[in-house]
Amino acid sequence: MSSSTTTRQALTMREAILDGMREEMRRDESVLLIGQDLRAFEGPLKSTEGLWEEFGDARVVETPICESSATSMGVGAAVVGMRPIVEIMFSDLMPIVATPVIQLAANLRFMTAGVGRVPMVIRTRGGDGPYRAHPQNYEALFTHSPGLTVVVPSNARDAKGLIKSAIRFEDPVLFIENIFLYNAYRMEVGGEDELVPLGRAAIAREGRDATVVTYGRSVRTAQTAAQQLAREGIELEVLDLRTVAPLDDEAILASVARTRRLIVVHEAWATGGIGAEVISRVTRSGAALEHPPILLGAPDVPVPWAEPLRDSLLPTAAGIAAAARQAVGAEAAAP
Amino acid sequence: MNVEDLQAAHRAMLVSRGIERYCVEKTPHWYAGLGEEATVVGTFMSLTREDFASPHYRGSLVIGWLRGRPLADVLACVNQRQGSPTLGRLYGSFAGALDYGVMPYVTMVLGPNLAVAAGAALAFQRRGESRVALASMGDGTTGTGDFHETLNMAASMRVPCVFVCQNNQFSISTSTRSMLACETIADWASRYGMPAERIDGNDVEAVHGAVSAAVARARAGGGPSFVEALTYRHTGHFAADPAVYRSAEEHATWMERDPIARAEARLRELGVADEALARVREQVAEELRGAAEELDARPPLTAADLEREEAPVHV
Repeated sequence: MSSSTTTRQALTMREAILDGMREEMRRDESVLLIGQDLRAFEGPLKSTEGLWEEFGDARVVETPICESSATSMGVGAAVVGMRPIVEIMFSDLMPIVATPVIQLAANLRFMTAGVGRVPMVIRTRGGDGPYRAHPQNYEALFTHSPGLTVVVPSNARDAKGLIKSAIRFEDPVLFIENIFLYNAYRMEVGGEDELVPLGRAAIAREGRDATVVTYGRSVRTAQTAAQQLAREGIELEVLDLRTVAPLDDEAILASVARTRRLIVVHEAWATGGIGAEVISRVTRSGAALEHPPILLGAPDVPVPWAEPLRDSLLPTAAGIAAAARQAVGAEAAAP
Repeated sequence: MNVEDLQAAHRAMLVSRGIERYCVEKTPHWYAGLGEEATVVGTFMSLTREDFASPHYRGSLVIGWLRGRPLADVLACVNQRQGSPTLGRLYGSFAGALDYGVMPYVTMVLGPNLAVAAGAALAFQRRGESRVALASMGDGTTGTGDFHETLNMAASMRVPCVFVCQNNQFSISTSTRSMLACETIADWASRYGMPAERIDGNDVEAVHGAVSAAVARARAGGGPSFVEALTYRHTGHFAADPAVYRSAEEHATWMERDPIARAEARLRELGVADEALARVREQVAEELRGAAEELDARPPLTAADLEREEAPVHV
């Protein structure tokens, strides 16, 4: 049985996450998969491909369509010593599980003064993508909740290391897999022992003129913008949050201290979102900024269905580049 | 039940009533379990200490005591002093006793506690353990989606889980009969393919008998069962609720069916003397007084307690 641990193949994000899950399930038999259509169907978008074949019914628990009680069931298993991964097919279903995630899994540790722990991963897929269904981005509902770690990886290598860390973590983690990124790109991933720490951002591109704080699919969009801007002499720093709750304040503030300009970009709604929180923290820190912070997020409408409509709501490289030119006072230089 | 078990149940019901009265004194907003002692005590006496309990909130404090939690710590759930099991973070009747295998009612939303029990049962099943999980609920909970979802999942997976409905005939002010589209809740549960029966929830022997049989069935690999214990809430939804939505006649009828008086009558039939029963009542009252005094000597919780964290407990 060959695995990436020795051969280091280039994997898609989907394959990389599966690779990490497979390694963790082999390593720790308390890791259990709970959710819908996980066996012969192999999960939505083949998100559990090969796991039932290898681990069988003992470890892969198929449920009826009842996300709310299936999630509470995961909590019960976690409280008595299992490490469940609860599969929620798509992010559109996340409001259904708000009670068991926010009020049960995330609350138990604090509410029992540490006596109870819920080492559970809630895994879902969100954001716009070729699948063109279930695109709503509800992550901010959950980043608002105390006790929850929320992860949105932007590339395959991070995704593998982050799912491994999430499975080993002592508290609940919401793990959101971006649908656009799912099968689109390949990347060499780390081996069995490469964990990516939760709660730590990464500099995806270094630059001196402005910081783009972003996560998920928008990291790539920002990198594209940075390439364009480099030709104009503007150097953009791209900070990939990776974990959107808790935020890596240290990394954000350090980057902004260097560039003195802040642009936050995400697919999710701007109102009450992660970008608003980042800007609030930077502003309250007293960081000296050369330009008011800029926020690029979705307007206050649900993500619509038709492609021309929904595409118009996504952050674009051109939009990020324009924001960066504005921030550095270089509008005139725009082509 | 043999006479010793019935005596133990009688004593536990007296403790339960004492705990609930203490809580009512402390706060008129207490969701009192007065009148439902036979259902709660009979149910949770049917488990071993290793089994997992995910109880309904009403009348739940006695469950921790049944499993060995000191009485003063039980009372601390309501009077906000040191030794309070969740350091005052969960309201008393929701606090559970996780270090004694009793799940807190963390959500304060009806329903998830049922699936939590099914999840613990799933873990026991997959690990090949002989432990059983038990969830209790009020009649109001049976109107939720989680009730139907969980019974369906538990039955289809045949997990070792027992469900007990503490049917006190009211969800807050709404009469169960008027709002649930079923003959009995047990009949509803039976349609999910599990043994289900309705029993007299004010008869501690009947409750203990039915729940013990269900626990034994689950432990033997026979899957989940359902017990509906028909009882009555002596107070309104909370102690100060005047309960204008029910008649004085109905209330009086059910007060005559008091579960503790009933157990005492049965003990007399079995040859236990009046003096012995009176002695138990006095002993329990004395224990409660002592616990309350011990508790009053403890310092109150403060904001500094927000920073404290205990070590995790293997449940």
